Amino acid sequence: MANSTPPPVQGPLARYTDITKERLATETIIYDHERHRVHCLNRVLAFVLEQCDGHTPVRLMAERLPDAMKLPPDQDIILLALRQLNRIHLLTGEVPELNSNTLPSRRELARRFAYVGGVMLPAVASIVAPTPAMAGSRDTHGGPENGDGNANGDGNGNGNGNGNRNGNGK
Amino acid sequence: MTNEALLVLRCLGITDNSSSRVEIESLLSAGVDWRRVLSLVRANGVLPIFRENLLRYCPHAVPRSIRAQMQAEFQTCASLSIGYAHELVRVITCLQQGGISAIAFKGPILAQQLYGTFSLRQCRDVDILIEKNRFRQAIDVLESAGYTPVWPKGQPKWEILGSDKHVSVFSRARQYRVELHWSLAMPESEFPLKFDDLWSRRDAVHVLGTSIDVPSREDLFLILCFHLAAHWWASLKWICDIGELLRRYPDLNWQVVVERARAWGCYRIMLTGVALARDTLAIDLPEQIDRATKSDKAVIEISNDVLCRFSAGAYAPHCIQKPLDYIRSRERLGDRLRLIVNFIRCRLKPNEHDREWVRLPDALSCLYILVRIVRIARLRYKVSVIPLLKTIMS
Repeated sequence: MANSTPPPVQGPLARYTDITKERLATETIIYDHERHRVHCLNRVLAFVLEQCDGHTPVRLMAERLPDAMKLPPDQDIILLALRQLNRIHLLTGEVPELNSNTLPSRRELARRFAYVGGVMLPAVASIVAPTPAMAGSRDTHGGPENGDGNANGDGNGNGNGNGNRNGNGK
Repeated sequence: MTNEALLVLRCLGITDNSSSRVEIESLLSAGVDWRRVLSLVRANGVLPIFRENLLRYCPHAVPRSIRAQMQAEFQTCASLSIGYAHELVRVITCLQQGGISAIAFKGPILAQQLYGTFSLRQCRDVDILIEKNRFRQAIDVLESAGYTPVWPKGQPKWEILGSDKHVSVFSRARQYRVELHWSLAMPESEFPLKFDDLWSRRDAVHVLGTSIDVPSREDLFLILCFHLAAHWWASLKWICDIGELLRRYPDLNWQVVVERARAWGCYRIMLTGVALARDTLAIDLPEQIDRATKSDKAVIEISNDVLCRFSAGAYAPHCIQKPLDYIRSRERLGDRLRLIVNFIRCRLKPNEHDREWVRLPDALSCLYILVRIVRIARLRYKVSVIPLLKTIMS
């Protein structure tokens, strides 16, 4: 008889609810609908997030780094990524490895890997998701459609706005 | 063309197989004015795709400060596009529950369809086409779901059905704008594609787990070409859409496209659209179409004008040039004459400013045309004649 109990959680678990994820060539965009924030994850951080299926321990994630990201198999890179993911609420539950007081900082890691010409470390840029009004979403291109404008002018909107920038580890 | 304009075009047109990378690197090493580059990509609504391609193919050539600036703007654009995608799903779901057939086009659905992601196309609204005779019902459905329509001032609200092509409705909570269309073009624009035709040939696209009806690829292609022309070929974003459609659907049925374009009198509009996609984004065209674009004088002139304007940083032609270019882009004499008549009629049509300037009783409302002529003459007199006289006198 098949056992329907899910396997116990052995590794970090990503949050799947109330987010929209878009994967681009160079980064991954995450829209957090619960907190109205938009995060832009670099490739390394996005890779770690994808590994967070609840069954992959930190050690195994680190072993996958050389093949997937051409990075050294260093668990501290994974821990730095997990700390960033945890800070922006993209993980669920506890990650025991993050409770340690000896977690390396981003600066320490950058210094450690400087001898190989520097490596791409996990990074995220976050903003508060702007409403169209906040962003001034009427971009400047185009005007009213043909025949729409009369003597009172063809109105062009203003440019793109910038959301509140709240860099995280960049 | 300036280095900045060339950089923008090469970045927009680059693919894995193209040789643009070498050209981009040489442009960057020659030095570009990044402020001008950013101004061009912002004004043309192409910052997301420009940034994506630039960082993908030449990541080390972008100054840190420019990279940070583009990052912030890109995230804002991505956030709005994703927000509009969710709004699209909400509106379509409301309409479907109300029993109203709807077709989504442009905006986030186009981003999903052509770019495979919402973030790479800047969206500023959601466009939905419904049957004209279901419009009132659709408004009721959306109002009961918390949307607020914005009616034009100075005329009874339902009269808009005869004088425009859409009404904007806003979601109260997040202020997203949804354009509810009953027609794809203004009544005077002479574009005959109707809802029933689109509906009978429709496709479906999955957006955020919801199936949404969209025009068939041949219809969509002609809609995009027409939309570009209706906006005087004023933005690279729409040219990119055409280029992306041609890349994504190499099996586009050109015979059907040409037949429909000829039947609707927008063959030249179609040729101009593809000529611009070829000249700006290095899109390969079928030989027959390519030859046709090169043998049509009006297509060549309009394309050259558009490229000159883009390089100079001007985004729309001069006031009188707009209707002239649009009229020139139609191949049938009858369409051209109708457009001229429509243009004059449209310019003479009184608006709320005329009605505010002089208030006439309802019985004399036909005289508002005269009011408008006098008001515009006075306006023009102040704007151009008085300064001219002053210049002469000085």
